[in-house]
Amino acid sequence: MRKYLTYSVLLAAVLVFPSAMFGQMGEETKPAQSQVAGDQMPNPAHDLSGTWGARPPVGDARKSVYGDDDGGWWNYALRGEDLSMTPWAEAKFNANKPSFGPYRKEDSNDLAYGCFPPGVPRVYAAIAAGMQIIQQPGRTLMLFGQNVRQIYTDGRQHPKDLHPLWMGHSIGSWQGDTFVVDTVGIDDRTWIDRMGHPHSDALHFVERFRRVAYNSLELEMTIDDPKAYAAPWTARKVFQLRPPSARAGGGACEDIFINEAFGLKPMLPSRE
Amino acid sequence: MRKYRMCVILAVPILFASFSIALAQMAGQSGSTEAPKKAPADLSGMWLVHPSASASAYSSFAFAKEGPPMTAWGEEKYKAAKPVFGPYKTTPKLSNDPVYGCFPPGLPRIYLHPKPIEIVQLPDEVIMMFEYDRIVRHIYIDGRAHDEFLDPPLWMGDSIGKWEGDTLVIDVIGFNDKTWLDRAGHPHSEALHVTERIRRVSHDTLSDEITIEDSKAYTKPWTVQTGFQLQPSLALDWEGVCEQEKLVDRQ
Repeated sequence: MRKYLTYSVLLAAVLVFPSAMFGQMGEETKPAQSQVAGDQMPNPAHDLSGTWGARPPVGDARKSVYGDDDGGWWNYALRGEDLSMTPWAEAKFNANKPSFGPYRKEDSNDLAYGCFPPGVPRVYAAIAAGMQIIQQPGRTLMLFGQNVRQIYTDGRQHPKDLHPLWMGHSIGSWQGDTFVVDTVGIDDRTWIDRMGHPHSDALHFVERFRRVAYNSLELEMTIDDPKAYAAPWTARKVFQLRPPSARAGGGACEDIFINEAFGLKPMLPSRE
Repeated sequence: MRKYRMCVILAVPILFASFSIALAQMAGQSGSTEAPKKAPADLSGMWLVHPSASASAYSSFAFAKEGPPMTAWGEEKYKAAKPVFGPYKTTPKLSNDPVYGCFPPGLPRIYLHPKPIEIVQLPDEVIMMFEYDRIVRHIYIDGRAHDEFLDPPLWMGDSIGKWEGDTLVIDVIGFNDKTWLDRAGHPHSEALHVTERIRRVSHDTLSDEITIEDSKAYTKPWTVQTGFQLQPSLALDWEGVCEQEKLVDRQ
């Protein structure tokens, strides 16, 4: 009996030791460990700092609402239902040629393939590079790989004469435990999502971030664009804290999409 | 005696295991709850490259007046380069400068492009945001080692740093060989090892001593010097997209 006990303790020690070591080294085991630690950590107030990764939804969201095998709507859309577009938006939607979703085309005219910034809210459709949030006095930075958002928290308003910006002009403030970001001036050449839903220069995009646990961040987005959609609509994302040891990627968009002979695709349309 | 030995056998891994778990948990917690350790210097701010006046004859395209001593391999690559600057310059149309294909400029070359650089200093990392080509460079200062399994290698390399007194010493490896060291077409191989020693020599000035080691391309390491000047009135402009400029050029 005693011998059995000894062996069990030894076995347990042998099992724990490498897993604890690999927890610091291997990519695979890190998130799980951080999650365990994170669940026990107090949720800091008014602090969203860290690098967050998207948490794929469970259940029906994994299925495509359009009945194809594209890996689920969360992979290319913000919401799993048809959006009520205005005729103006319908026309733009039909002209867009996405490479994701039910209407994907071989000859895509997605600006992502010209290495242009994705804009918001589309940046949330795929955040493989992670979302690093840095809170500073007067400003919150959000880094999505090489796409940088500056959210002013110094009390300023949006400028009156705003030239369109790839990621828009953003101001943020805390409302209780929620960080509310208000964005306008988003370049209308960007899409709402990866399946080609358009937006106009009138898009007013509001994000409500709430850190529901140490390692869990919820985002509720409101897309208000009367020129493109019949009514404002909302979408939701959940992010999970990445361990501090995770690295930001260092790849260049041009590696994938632009060939070495400098063949740049003339795909940038003129602004409306 | 045997019992004692068993205790030691048991105690060592258990102690080690609990220690590792504690360490791992501490690592998982760092970032927001612990009071950050005070860094020996603050490099944060908006900076613009500012080489010394004595370097003005070449500082727009090279770090030194004389090129470094090259190996035969390096010479061959240098001859194949068609830069727009330097002793062997050609026209932009005939150039094969990788930045004309909108590829990242690499390191240390990015410092030769006079666009603002914002440095954000965090307890675990120093981030350099280069307006030129919208490059975000993460320099990890949390004691981690280089990523040994970089595949493919990176345009800007893998940067880790540590404080030596008030100097941030940055060690960079893991480069691909598609970038040039400067705008005059000096090549490098994947064996490139760059060391930077950045120090805030005054409130408004950073100095950066850059050592370039690449035994495949150069016969010996060489060290160059550059610097940066604080530009608090500048704001980070993240709107310029290389492809857009190229397309405008061609129209």
